[in-house]
Amino acid sequence: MKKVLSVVFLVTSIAFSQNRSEKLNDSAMVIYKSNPQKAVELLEKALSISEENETINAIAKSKNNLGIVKRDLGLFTEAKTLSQEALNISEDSIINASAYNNLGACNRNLGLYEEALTAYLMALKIYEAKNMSSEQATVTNNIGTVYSYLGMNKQAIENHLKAKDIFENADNKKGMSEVYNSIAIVYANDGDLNNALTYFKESLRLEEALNSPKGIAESTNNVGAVFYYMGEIDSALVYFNQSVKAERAIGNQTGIGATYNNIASVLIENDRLKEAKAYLDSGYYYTKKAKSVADIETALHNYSQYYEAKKQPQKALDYYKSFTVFKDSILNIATNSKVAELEIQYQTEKKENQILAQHAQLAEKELQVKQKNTIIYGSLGLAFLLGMLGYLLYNQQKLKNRQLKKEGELKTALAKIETQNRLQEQRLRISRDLHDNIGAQLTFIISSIDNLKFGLKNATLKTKEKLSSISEFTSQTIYELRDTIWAMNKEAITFEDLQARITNFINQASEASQDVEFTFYVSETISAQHTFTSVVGMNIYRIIQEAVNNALKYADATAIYVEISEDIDTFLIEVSDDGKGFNIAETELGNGLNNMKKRAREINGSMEYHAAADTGTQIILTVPKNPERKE
Amino acid sequence: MFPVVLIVAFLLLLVGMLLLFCFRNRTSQKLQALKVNRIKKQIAIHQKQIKVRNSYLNTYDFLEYNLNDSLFTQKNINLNL
Repeated sequence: MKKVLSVVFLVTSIAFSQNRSEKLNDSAMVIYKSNPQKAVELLEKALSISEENETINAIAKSKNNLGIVKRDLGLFTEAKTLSQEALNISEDSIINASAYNNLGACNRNLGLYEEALTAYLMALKIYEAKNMSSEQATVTNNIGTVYSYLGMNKQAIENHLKAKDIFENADNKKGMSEVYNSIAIVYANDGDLNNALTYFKESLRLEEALNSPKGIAESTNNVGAVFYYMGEIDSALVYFNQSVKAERAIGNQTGIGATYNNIASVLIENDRLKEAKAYLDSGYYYTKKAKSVADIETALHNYSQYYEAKKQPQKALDYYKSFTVFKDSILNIATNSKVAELEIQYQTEKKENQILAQHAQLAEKELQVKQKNTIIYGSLGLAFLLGMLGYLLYNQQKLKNRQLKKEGELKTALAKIETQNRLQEQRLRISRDLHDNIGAQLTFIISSIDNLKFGLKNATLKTKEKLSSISEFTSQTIYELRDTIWAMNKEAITFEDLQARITNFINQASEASQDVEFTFYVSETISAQHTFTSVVGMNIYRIIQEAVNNALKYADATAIYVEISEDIDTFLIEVSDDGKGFNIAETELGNGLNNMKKRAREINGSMEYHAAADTGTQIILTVPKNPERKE
Repeated sequence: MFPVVLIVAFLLLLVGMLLLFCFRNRTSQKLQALKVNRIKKQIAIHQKQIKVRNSYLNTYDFLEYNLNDSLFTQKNINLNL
C-alpha cells in the first residue's frame, strides 16, 4: 500500500510541474507580440521548471519558444542558437518542426537564403508526415517569400499557390485571403495586373464571406487601385464607391474622406468636372470633420486642380495659396501631432503592457490557486482513502473477532457435551459393573443364606436369627446399591419424582406395619418441577427412610407423620412420631442418627431432633433450595 | 490532464481496496461456516448419543431385570449340619 501511495505522489508532482511549464509556455506565446520582455521572463521560468524536472521535451519546447521570441526581437543569432539546442535534444517531432521553421525565418532575415530554404523544407517534411495542413501551408508560404526575396517570382508564385491549395482544402478563409494578397502583390510587382486583379478580387470575395468590414474596405480599395492603373476608370470608380460604402458601414470618416478625394482626383484627371465637384466637397467635408490634415491638404490641392481645369485661374490660385499655407502650417501641426500621437501611442502601449502583465499575473495566480486546490483535493482524497482503509481493517477485525467468539462458544459447548457424554458412559459402565457383578453377588448371598436357613434344620434359634440378620443386612446393601445406581444414572431428580419415591416407600412401610398410622403431607406451594441433583435427592430420601425406620424399630410409635414444606430459600422436612422417645442427654447416638447428620451436611443442610421420654421424637431437616455441593 | 490522472488513481485504489476486502471477508466467512458446521455436527452426534442412552436408562428397572432373576433356588447347596 505504501508503494502505491508513493507512486501516486510521484505521478501527481510530475504532472503538476509539467502542467505549470506548459501553461507558462502558452501564456508567453499569447503575449509575445505585444509584450516580448514579459514573454521572455515567463519562458525563462518555464525553462527553469522543466530543467528542474529534467523533462527533455519541455526543455526543448521552452528553448524553441524563447528562440521564436528572440527572433521577433531581432536577435537572430541568439534565436538560432536556442532553436538549434532545442532541435538537438527534442524527441518530439512537432517541436523539431517548429524549431526548423524558426531557423528558416532567422536565416532568411540574416540573408542566408539557401540555409533558410533547407530549414523550411525540413519543417515542411515533418508537418506533411504529421498531416498538419495549416502549418504546412504557413511554411510553404514562407518558402514562397524566400523565393520572392531571391527575385525568383515563378517559384514564389508556385509556393504561394501550394499554400493557397492547402488553405483551400482546409477551408481556412483568413489564410486563403492572406495568400491571395501575397500572390496579387507578386503579380503587381511583376507588372501582371490581370493576375494581380484576379487575386485581389478573390481576397475581396473571401473578406466578404468572412464579413470583415475592414478587410472588405481595404480589398475593395486595392481592386479599385488596380483598375485605375489599368486605365479602367469606371470600374475603378465603382470599387472606390464600394470602398466608401464599406468605410461608411464601419464609420471610418478618415477612410471616407480619403476615398472621396481619390474619386475626385480620378474624375478631374479624366475631365469629368461636373461629377468631380460633389466628391470634392464631400472629401473636404469628411477630412475636415475627421481633422485628417494630410487629407485636407489633398482636398485643397484637388480644389486648385479642379478650378484650373475649369479655367478659373483666380480661384485655382486662391486654393493653391490655401494649400501651400495649410501645408506650411501643418508642418508644425504635423510635428506636434506626431509628438502627441507618439505620446498617446507610448501611453497606450504602456497601458496595454500593464494590462498584459496583469493578465499574466492573473494567469499565474489562477495557476497557483489551481495547484492549491489540487493539493487540497488530493489530500482530502488521500485522507478519505486512509479512512476507508482503516474502516475496512476495523470491520475485518470485528468480523474475525465475531467468528472467533462464535467458534470458541461452539468449541466450549462441544468440549462440555463430549465430557458429559464420556462421564455418562463411565457412569453407565460403573453402574453396569455394580449391577451385573456386585448386585448379582449380593442377591446370590441372600439366596444362599435363605437356602442355608432352610437347610439347617437343627440350627439353634440364635443361629437362625443371625442368618436372618445377615440376610436382612445384605438386602439393605442391595437397596442402597440400587439407590446409588439410580442416583448415578440420573442427572437430576424432579420433586415430583422424589415425592413418588417417598410415597412408595411409605406405602411399603405402611403395609409392613399395619398397626402404625402413616401421614405424608406435602405443601401445595412446592413446584412439582423443582429439580434436585441426584445426590441431594438421594440424601433427602435416605434421611426420611432412616428416620421412618428408626421410628418403626425403636420408638413403638402408633403414628408417624412426614411433612415437606417450603420457606423462601429452603425446604423443611419433618419426620415425627408419638413413640416412647428417648433422653438425649443419656442416650448415646447410634450410627443411624450420625449418618443422617452426615448426609444433611453433605447437601449443605442441617438437621435437628427433639426428643424426650414418652413425648415422641421430632426430626427436622432443613435443605437449601439450591444447595451447592460440598467439595 | 493531472486531475484526471488523480481521479482515476483515486477511483482505482478505492475500488481495488473495496474488492480486496470484500473478497477476503467472503473467504473468511466461508471457512468459518465450514468450521462451524463441522463442530455443530459433532455436537449433534454427542447429543443424539446422550439422548438415546438417557431414554434407555429411564426405561431400565433394577428390580425387574436383576433382583428377581437372581433369586433362584440353589440346589447344589447341601449342608450336613
